Order: sequence, then C-alpha cells, then structure tokens
Amino acid sequence: MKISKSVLQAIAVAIVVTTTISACANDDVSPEKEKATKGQKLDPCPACGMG
Amino acid sequence: MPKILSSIACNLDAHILLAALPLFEQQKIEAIEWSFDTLFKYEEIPEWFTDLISEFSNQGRLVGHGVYFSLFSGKWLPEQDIWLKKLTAFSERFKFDHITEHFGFMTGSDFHKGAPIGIPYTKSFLDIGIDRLKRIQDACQRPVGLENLAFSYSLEEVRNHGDFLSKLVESVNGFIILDLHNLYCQIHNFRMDFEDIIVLYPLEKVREIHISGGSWDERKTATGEKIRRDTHDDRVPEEVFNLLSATIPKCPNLKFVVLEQMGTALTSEENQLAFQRDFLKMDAIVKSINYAFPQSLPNNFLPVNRAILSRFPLENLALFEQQQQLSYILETAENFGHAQQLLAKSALHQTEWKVENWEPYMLETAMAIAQKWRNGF
Repeated sequence: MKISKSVLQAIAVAIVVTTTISACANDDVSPEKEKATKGQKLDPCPACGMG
Repeated sequence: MPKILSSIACNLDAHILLAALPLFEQQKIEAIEWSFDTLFKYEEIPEWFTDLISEFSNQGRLVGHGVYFSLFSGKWLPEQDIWLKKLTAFSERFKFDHITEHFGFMTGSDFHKGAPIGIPYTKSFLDIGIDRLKRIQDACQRPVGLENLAFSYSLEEVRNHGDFLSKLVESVNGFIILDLHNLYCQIHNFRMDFEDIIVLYPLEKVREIHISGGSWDERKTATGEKIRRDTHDDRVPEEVFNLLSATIPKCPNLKFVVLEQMGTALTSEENQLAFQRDFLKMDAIVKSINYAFPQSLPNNFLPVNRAILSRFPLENLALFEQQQQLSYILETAENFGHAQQLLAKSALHQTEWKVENWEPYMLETAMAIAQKWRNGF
C-alpha cells in the first residue's frame, strides 16, 4: 500500500531521533491527546509474544 | 476478487518501525495490525504515528489487536471499563476493519502485568467470555475476534480449544485469529500431526492468520524434547511457513495474514533484514494461493443484531479467587514440586481446573511464563 512521503519521512526522523522520555505506567493516553514527538523515546512494545 | 492482505504487527516501537520502514517505502505492506492498548506508557501519541495509523485506516487496512483486556477474568475490573471507553474513542477516530483480543486471563497484580493463561472450558467461563465479547463489540461496532492460545496444560485442552473458541465467537457472529506459531507450539509440545489438529478449529471462522518465530525452552516434554514457546523473538521457522501454505486454502473467509515479531528481537541490522525477508516470503506464499478464493467473502462477521447487554457485567467471584490463587502460585512457586504442593492446598484442587491432570512440563512452563511477565514489560 502506498504511504505518503511526508509520513515516511516523519517516521524515519522519529526513529532516529528517539532519545529520552520516561515511560510512565499510567493510563493518560487517549486518542484526543497527541502531539509531535520531539526527543521522545520509544519503549519496546510487548503486543503478542507473551509466551 | 477479495484479496488476502499481507500485513505486519506495527506498534509504537522504534525497532519494529526501523525494520518495517523499507517495506513501507517499497509499498509491500498491505495492512497493519495495531495493538492500540499498548500505549499506556506514553502520555502522548506522536503525531507522526497517528498519521501512519490514519493512512491505513483511511484505506480500510487497519486492524486492532488488544493485549490487556483479560477476557476471562472472573471479576469485572475497573480497568476493563476504561479499556472499553478507550476502544470506543479509538474506533470513532480510526476505521478498524475489525478488533481482536487474546484468549485467556491475565496473570499479574495489575492490568499491565502478567501474561495470558488458559482457563477450563466450562459453561461458567463460556458465559463470562460471551458477556465480554458482546461488550467489546458494543464498544467498537466492528467485527470481533479471538486468537488461539499457544499454551495448554494438557492434551485434552489442546483437543477442545478450537471448539470452545467457536462457541465463544458464535455469540457475536465473530471470527478467530489462527496463530500458526501457536499451533506449531501445540503440535510440537503435544506431539500432534498438523492434519489432526487443524480439523479441530472452525476454519470457516478464520479471518486472520498470524505467523511469528519463537524459542526452545530448556525444559523437556514427556518425550524428552525441548518445549516450544511463543516468544516472538526469532525468525519464522520453515515449518511455520509450511503450515501457512497448508492452511490458507482451508480458510474461505481469510482476509489478513500478519507477521509478528517483538521489537526487542529487531535491534540489529541483521535481524531487521531477516524480518524483511520473512515478510517477503510470507507475501509470496499469500500471493501464490490467492487465486483459489471465492468472488466474495461468505461472512463479513459484522454484528447481526445490536448486542443486548446486561446492566452489570457477568461475574463469578469464586472463579476469580481461583484465578488469583493460580496467578500467585505460578508467579511465586520456587520450583515444580513447590507449585504442586501449593496447588494441592488451593481452591483449584479437585475442581474443573483439573490441575491433577496438568502435564508437569507444562506447569513448569506456565510458571516460567508468569514469572517472566510478573513485572510487566
């Protein structure tokens, strides 16, 4: 599937720039609450694989 | 002609995204599966990530895959209420093709700790599962499905898993995800043949297939072989690709085939390249078999009627107490003998859990799984 160049470029920049942000264990995240990532660390995601 | 979409599990994880980026650029990835409830560690969702989700959402190529709902918890938890509210909000924002969760209940002291573990296939648990599936469907207004579990305590459980899944999802005109690495674990750990195990699943209800890699445990099965575990931390074994080729033609309602791998296993360039090769190999298998499918999908798995929900979620506090005791034993027992002693004194002794019939090597494996995930990810 084709993805716009701007989105691909933003992903590429974000995964390179991931630096630090503490991964808090609260439930604050919501679809309404978002903003651009600046200096945000992406923690590993468990998803499946809990075997 | 309906098309099976070659997909990846894509989450807010730098290494998954790094491994997937070349495939995105080459327009190879046709859909993504997003575990929307794994963002609890983040205060804010990065805009670039929601843009990526939106791209797939806008083209009807986004599926949602929950991790933490704990479908069979005997007690209705406040976090399940929050989970449903977030699902509703996400479903209004993004167009999910469907929503799925895992089979089992979560061990662990809080909502984001522990791992999914099986339950006895009884009427009490069937009723709880149906109640929860209806609430998920009501929250998202999309087709709803469940994934088969990799773990079983006994051969009897393995034989009955597909039938129990079928009864559960029937209540919501739902579907199943057939995880072929999970099936591979069952085939290996219980020495079954593919032809014997695959017919135990409701293949007309398979809308999604997962493939992934896993690992060999140091513990041994009854025949002295290593236990296979669904850890998603390695390449897809050749045997699982063979299962994929053999299974696709048996699933007339199949729409998505998803490659899953943990980001923690994609930290090196070598592993990222291997992930890309696995995806292309999966895609080639999917494309080679596509032609055999009917002109339209026989079942769209949409809700037939709006679910009628009881005001209060169904609960069984006796079962919840048993679940808590089991979680505690699995997470804290020092060794197999200790776990057996604790189980013999517990509320699970001589009950429908049939703990007396559990294979010793699978009880040890359950302990390893629960203790691995006791503190969350």
